[in-house]
Amino acid sequence: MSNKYALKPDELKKEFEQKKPRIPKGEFAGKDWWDLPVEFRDGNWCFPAKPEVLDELHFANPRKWAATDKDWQLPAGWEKTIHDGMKDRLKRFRSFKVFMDSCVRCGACADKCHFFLGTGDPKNMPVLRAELVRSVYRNDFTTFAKILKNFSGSRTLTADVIKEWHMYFHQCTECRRCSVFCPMGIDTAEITMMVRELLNLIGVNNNWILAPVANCNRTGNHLGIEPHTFEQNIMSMVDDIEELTGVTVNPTFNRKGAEILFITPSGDVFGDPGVYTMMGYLLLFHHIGLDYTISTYASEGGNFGMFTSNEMMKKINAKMYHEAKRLGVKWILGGECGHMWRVVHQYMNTMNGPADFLKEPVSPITGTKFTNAKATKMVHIAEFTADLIKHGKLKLDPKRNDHLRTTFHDSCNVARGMGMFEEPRYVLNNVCNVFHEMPENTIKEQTFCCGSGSGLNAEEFMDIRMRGGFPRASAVAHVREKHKVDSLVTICAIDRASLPPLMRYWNPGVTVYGLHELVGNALVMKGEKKRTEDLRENPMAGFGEDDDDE
Amino acid sequence: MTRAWEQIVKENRKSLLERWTSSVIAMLPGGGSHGSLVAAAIAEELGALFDAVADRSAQANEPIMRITRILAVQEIPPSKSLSILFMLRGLIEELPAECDHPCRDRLEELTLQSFDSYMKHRETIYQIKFDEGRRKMHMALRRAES
Repeated sequence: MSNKYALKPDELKKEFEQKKPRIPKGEFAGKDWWDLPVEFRDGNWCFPAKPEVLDELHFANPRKWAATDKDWQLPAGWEKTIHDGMKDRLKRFRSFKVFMDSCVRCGACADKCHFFLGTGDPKNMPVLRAELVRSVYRNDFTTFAKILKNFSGSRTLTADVIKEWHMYFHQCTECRRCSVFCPMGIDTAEITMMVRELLNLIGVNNNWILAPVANCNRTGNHLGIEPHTFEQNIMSMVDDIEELTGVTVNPTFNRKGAEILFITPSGDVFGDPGVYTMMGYLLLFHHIGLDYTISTYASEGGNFGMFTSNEMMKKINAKMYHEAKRLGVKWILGGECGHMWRVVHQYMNTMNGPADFLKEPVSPITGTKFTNAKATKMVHIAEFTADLIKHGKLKLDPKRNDHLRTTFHDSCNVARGMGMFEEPRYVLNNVCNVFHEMPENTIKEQTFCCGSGSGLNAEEFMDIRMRGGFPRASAVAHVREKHKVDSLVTICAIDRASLPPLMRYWNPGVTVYGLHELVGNALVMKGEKKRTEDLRENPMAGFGEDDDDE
Repeated sequence: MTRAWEQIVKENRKSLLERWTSSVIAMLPGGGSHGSLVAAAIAEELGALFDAVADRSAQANEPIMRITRILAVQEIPPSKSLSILFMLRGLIEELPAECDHPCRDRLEELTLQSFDSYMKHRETIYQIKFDEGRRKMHMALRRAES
């Protein structure tokens, strides 16, 4: 019996097809969003991992290939591998299951992603990027959506879908800006992490991520620096510091029984401008007489395992704690890094913790108990230094940074992953006299990513990096024009590597600094000679040979 | 008698600029949108470039430099990116103005200037890539040395 209030399924389908909004326009009018082709071309893809790198890590499908190849040489049965991998992860990671099911497609995240803002590509809206995998999830794992295939937006997994995943989940830096605005609390970074894990199961990967992982697995740091070279490099900084300040600092290496183990990204030991930040740490520790040691084995704070797989992230993180145990330190002090802090702050305790063999961190200089680090036993250098300043333990001359007009870039993982906003600003305001904030919607929890995080800092990816970094660069341009800012200060090693080229392209004349480099400039050291140059050997304003001592 | 094209262009600034801006934004990847950051940044500079078209004393270098810097990293072929002033020519030619040679000459002059600027930005990108590669090599050599 027909009922005018209950349409037949084919009538309903016809009406649905006629009325549903169509986003694609022009030559793609009438097509579904997922019909828009993916085109790899110079500048928009990262080189895949070299076969020897995959062999070293025992990762799947080592081969020579390129994203521009028609045939990606996926392994036999790759569809099942992905299906089983997804099934396994939906079971193991509750968040993945919740994030697959809970999006209401409100679009609040759409214009929050720096890649969408910089590329204009709809598939870079976080909601749509996640839909690239949700559409497959719905098809394979939800009965209701499988039955109502035409209504639910589900689709079959094909090689083209894999190409699409590779393209767009490598145009997400896991910065989580979109998550700040998501009313459902979806953490898009964790979706990206899951998809990258799945892609690694079939050998679809990125050399700029996996080569550092292999290096870290072998030598303890992303750059593959061996222990003697690691130590030698820091000792060459000791020489530079002596030449500049007349003060001989005395770092120790692998010293058992030290109170504190200091771990920072290896970029601070071997990268420019990270080395100046390292010199700042060394001066600070000498200034307060800290009983610390540096490990040449746990010689990396960063954790590119996070961009690869849960197991690899766990392994790389564990190394720091194993070393702390071996050396018998009380707690760990961590340097200026981004994703190291997301791993430590949000995953470490349930992944490798509890670190019961360490003590709840207490500053040996001020007596401050860092209760926030009770679980991880690891304190961020910015809050350690802020505490020292607050207690008047540092002799600082902010005028020594008067040659710099600064602004501060909140590193995504420290700001959104730890909620640390004020400590670095407090330090910065105490070590320099000119500081201007970028616009409110580009800092603190709303900070814009550098555009190269999560292992996307490859030179062959430059065009996308420049586009992804455009929102951050625009905010810097704003304070440059308004306040003549020329110095971008940050607390992340990836930022120190990726922001200089971003500034060189969009804002020539803006230089990138680590926070503790400026601390090192401002510290008045006992027994120092007259300081005329900063740690980069650039002249300080008003501190020339002919200027009077202050 | 038809009037000088510069005069007509100045008188029709608002409508010409609106239509020109829409055409340029539509060329951007994803069809662009007036709300997007890239579109807003380009739109902001198009006004200054527009003024420089009809007024030789107005500064063209700065807006050209800023617009081409954005276009040089978009997924748009250079031929299309650098056609933005030809888009304006089409709009101007719809006006009842004497805009044969003098107008075309001016727009071609600015297009060639844009070409120089676009190439400069691409050169910067390659220089940045090159420098990153060089730093990597430098690091490898230092490791080998030690």
